[in-house]
Amino acid sequence: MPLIQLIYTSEASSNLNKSEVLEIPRKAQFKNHSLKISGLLLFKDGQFIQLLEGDEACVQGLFEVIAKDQRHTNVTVRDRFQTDRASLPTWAMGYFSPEADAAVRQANLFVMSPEDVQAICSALPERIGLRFLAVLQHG
Amino acid sequence: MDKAKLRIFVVDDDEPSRIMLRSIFAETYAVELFDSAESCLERMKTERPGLFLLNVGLPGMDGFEMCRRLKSDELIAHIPVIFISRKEGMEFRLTGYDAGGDDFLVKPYAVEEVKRKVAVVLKAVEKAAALRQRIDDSEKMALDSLTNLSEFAIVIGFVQNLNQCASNEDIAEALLKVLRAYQLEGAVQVLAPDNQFTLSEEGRDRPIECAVIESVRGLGRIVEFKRRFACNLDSLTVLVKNMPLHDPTLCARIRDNLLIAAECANARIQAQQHQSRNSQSKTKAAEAFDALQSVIFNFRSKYAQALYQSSLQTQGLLDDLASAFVSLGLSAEQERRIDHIVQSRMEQMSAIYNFSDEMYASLSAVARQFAVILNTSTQPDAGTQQAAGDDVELF
Repeated sequence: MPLIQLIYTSEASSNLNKSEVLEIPRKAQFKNHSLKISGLLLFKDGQFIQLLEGDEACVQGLFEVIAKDQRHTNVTVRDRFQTDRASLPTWAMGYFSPEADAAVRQANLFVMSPEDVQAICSALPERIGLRFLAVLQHG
Repeated sequence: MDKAKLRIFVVDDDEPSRIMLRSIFAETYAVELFDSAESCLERMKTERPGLFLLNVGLPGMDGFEMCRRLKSDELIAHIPVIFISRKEGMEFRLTGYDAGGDDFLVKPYAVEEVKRKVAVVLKAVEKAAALRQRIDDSEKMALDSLTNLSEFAIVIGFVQNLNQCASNEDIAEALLKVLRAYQLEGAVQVLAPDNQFTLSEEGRDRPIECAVIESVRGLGRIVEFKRRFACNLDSLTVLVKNMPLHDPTLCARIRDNLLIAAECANARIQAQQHQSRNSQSKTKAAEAFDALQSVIFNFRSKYAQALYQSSLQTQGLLDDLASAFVSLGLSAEQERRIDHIVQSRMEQMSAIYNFSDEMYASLSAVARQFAVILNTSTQPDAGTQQAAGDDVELF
């Protein structure tokens, strides 16, 4: 069944705090799994970049909801690909901030380490991976 | 199962999938990644995991086939396998089940889902291992109990037959049979006052065995030195030279059983000593009884002779007096008086002999009592006893 891969970037709202950022993986993991959507969300220096992959209608529907979310602005679709195979086996988040580790551990959440994000981005298809690596290196 | 040390082998040809799984489990488990079944099987030659996360759609050998291989090896068949695939459906899952898999994950999976499935499968394996261990323990306990019963039966048999041992040699031989029944080698030394010897299956009173037993005899009731075990009792020493030290439980059981057998044998030897002393006493008593009977017989015989001689002498005296009366010219009154005096004295003499009758009666009574005592001690079965006082025939 053909799938769609959608990549967007956005900027965090000025009033977005740490606990609100950590609410994203808590809710998104369950919602995305129910929609059979995999992907990767990075948050670094107030910048978001996310890959959503799955059934086109599901991805498009989810993206429209995300685009309206008040916690970020300047939501911009960077790429949209048709594919027959998803690049990731699940949906995950990478949270880059000096206090990320302690905060994530305290919240008992699965958030990928910088090393693993770097590794997974390098392993992704180039057209996707380069977008993410650009955000990572930008910081 | 120690999760901190448990190793997970992730086999997936898709690199992001491998990295994602490592990221999910790296904090809790030691995760090793493989891009093919073949590379993982190669690693299995040197390291075995506690769990496999196995992608089905692998190039080369697929996940199902790899799982079949794992489950066909008895040594690793217990290691759980969780399949991961983008495909799903009942038939696909059944194929995985038939291959021996423990669970199935469909991509895209939720992180919490994969964590929970791994935890559940490992818990199930842990429980299964605990159950196997309990069954093994129960089986071992049952076997031990049966073995224990069998071992104890050897001692019971020995004790039951102990009373049939007529001599100390019989007792020593019976103990050697106990040693043999326990597949032990050794010797038995009997230390009865009048009967001391050392016996083993190699022979009697072998100098080396006598010397070894002598060396351990003064070291206490129980002596253990390497494979040797000795039990020193008052009248007995049992020496074993090949205790099964490789099996401490068996060793302890055999030691206990040997102690029971040795204690019983020791008691039997001492009982035989008492029996022997009693027997000697009875022989001496019987001899004394015979002597007493002889004395009484001689007394009665000599008494009868004396009585007979006395009556002859008395009659002679009366005859001599009658003759003397003729020549002495005594009056009838004088003759009557002299005759009366003599008759009176003869009656007094007869009374003296009557005393002898009483003496005889007293001696006979003593002899009867003696006979009763002898009969009682030589005939312990009350049912066969008769009224001994009526039974004794002294003459």
